[in-house]
Amino acid sequence: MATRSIKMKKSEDQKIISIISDFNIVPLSGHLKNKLKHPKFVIETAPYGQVYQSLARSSDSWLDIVWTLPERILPGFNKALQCVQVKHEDILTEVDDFAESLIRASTQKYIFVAAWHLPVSKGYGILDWQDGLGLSSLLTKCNLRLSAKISAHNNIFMLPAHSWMEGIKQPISKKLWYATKVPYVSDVFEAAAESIQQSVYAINGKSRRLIIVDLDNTLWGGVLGETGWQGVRLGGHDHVGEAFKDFQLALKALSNRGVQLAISSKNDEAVAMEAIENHPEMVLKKEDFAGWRINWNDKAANIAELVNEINLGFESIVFIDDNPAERGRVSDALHEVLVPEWPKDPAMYVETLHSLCCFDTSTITNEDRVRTAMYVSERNRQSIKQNVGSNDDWLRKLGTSVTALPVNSNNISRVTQIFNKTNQLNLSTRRLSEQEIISWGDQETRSMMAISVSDQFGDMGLVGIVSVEVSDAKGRLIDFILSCRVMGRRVEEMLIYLAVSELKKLGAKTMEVVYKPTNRNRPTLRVLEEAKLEKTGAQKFGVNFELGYGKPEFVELNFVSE
Amino acid sequence: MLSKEEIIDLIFRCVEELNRQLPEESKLILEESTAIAGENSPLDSLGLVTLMICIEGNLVPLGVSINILDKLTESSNFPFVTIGEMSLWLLDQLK
Repeated sequence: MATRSIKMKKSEDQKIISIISDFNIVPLSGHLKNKLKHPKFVIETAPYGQVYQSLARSSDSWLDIVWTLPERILPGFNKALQCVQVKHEDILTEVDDFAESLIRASTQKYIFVAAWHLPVSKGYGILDWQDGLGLSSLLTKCNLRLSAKISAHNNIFMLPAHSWMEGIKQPISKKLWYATKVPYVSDVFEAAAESIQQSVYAINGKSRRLIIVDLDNTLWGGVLGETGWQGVRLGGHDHVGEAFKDFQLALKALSNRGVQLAISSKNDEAVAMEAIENHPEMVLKKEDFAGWRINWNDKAANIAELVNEINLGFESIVFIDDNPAERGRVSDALHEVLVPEWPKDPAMYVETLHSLCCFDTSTITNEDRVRTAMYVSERNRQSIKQNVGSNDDWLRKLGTSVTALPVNSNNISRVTQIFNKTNQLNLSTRRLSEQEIISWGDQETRSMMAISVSDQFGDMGLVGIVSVEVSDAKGRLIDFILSCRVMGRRVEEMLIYLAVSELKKLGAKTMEVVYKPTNRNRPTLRVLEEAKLEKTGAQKFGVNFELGYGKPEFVELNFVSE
Repeated sequence: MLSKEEIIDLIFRCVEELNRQLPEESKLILEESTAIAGENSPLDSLGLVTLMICIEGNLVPLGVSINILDKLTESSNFPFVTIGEMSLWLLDQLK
C-alpha cells in the first residue's frame, strides 16, 4: 500500500481547505466560512479557472474541493452540448485524464469532487437518454466513469452536486453568469456548503452514532398506556399509521448504515416490549435496539445511563421526542446531545430525520453494519454473568479469543475509525488519518497490530490496536486502544502480553508505558494500575523482560499473518 | 411608482440575502449609511454586482424593468456610495 501522509500545515492544528473551480466560486467560500467557523479551518480559493494547474501545484491544503462545469472541464462534452457529433468514448478518455489528475493530487490530502450537473440545455429532447447520443445519457456515463476511477482511493469522495439544486426554483442565473461568471444563485452555494460541512465532519469522525427515540407519538401514533398495542397507529390503511411506519423504515435504514438505535420512553417496560414484539407492523424489533430505558424516570438521567451503557460520548447522540417539554429537559441537561426540533405532523418525520445530515461517515465497515447485533450479544453476556458465581467462572464460560492481525488494506478503514473514535481505553489518544497510520507502521523498528475479539456469543470484530516501537533495545508501548465493549475480561492484559511479545521480536529488553491523560481516558490509567506492571512514575509503567509478563488466564491468543 | 421607503426595504432584503454568502467580517449592516461602494465598503466587485442583480430581480415582480449594471456603466462617475444614496439614485432612475 502506498505510503502517504495528510498534511496539516500553517500551524499544527490548522487545516487548509482549498476550493478549486473553473467558474467563480467565491460565494461558496463565503458560505463555507460561515459553516466551518472553527479557527482550525482555513478556507482558501485557488485562482479561478486553473483547475489542472491548481491540482498539479504542490500545496499545503488538507482538503481540496473541486467543483467544475462539465462543459468547461471536458472539451468534448462542450462540443456535444452544441449537438456536434462526438464519440462518447473520446469524452470518457477526458474524464479519465481528469480523474488521474485528482488521484495524483490526492497523495497528501483529501479531495471532494462535485459530480457533474447537466447545464441548461434542451439537449436532444425525447432522444436525450438515447445511448451514444443524448446528453443526459452521456453525462451520467461521465459521472459513473469518474466514480469508478476514484472509488479505490479512500481519500477522494464524490459529492452529489445535483442534490444542491433540489428544491431551488431557479438554481442557475444566466445574468449572474454573464456578469460575474458565477453560474448558480446563492441558495445553491449554501446547500453545497452544508453538504461539504457534513462531509468534513464525516472525515473528521464527528458524525452522530446513536439515535435515542421516544415511543408514543414518535415511533407509533397514540399513547400505548391508553390504547394498548392493538390501538396504536402504525402502518395499515391509515395515512398517519403509514407515516410512522415510514419513519421506522428510515431509522432502520440508518441502523443498516451503522447508526445505532435506543429507546428512552415514559412507559411500562413490559407493556412497551409487548408492543414492540407483537405489533404486526413494527419495522423495528427488540434486536434493533442497542439498549433502552423504559420507565417513569427523568429522561435526561435515562439517556446518561444509556450512553454510559453503550460506551459513547454525548456528542455522538441524537434524541428524538415529539414532546417539546422532554426535548427541552434533555437539551438543557445534556448540551452535547443533538435534540432537533420535531414536527407535530408525523408526515414530516422522515424529512426531518433526513435533514439532520449528521450521520455521514467516510467509511462503512462490517463492524458498523452489525454493531447493534454486537450489543445484543453483550446483553446476553451480562445476563450469564448474573447467573454464575465468580468472575473467573464467568470468564471461563465466555471462552474469549483474541486475534492479532497485521494492519493492511482489508482493515485500514476500521483501524482508522478505532484510532479516531476510541476515548476511554486509549493510552496516547493519537488521532491519525488512514495515510498517517500506514506511514507510521512503515518502519522496521515499529509494529502495529489490529485486535479482534470473539467469544461463544459471537464475533465482536476489530475492537483494538496495539503498536510498539523499539530504540536501542528499549521498547515502548505507543498505542494501546481497546473498545470499552470488551473491557474487564482480561483482554487488556492480553494486549500488554502481546505488546511485550512483539517488542521481544524487535530486540527490546524492556517496555515503557507512558499514560497521556485526556478528559476521557482515565479508565486507561486504572487498567494500567491493575495490569501487574511495574510502576515507574506517576503516569509511567514498565516491564523488564527478564522478569517476564505472564499470559492472562481464560483468554486465548491467535495470530493471523499477512 | 415606488416610494423611497419601499426601495430601501427592497435593498435591505437583497443585502440580507447577500450577507448569507459573506463571511462574518464582511457582512453589511442594515442601515442607510452603510457603504456598499467605494473604499469604505467591505463589498468587493462581485458582491456589489450580485447585490445589483438581486435588486433588479426583485423589481421585476413589481412591474419595474431596469438594467442597473448598464445604467452604472453609462455613468461617468459612480453615482452612490451608501445604501441611502443608492435608493435616491434608483428613485431617480425610475422616474
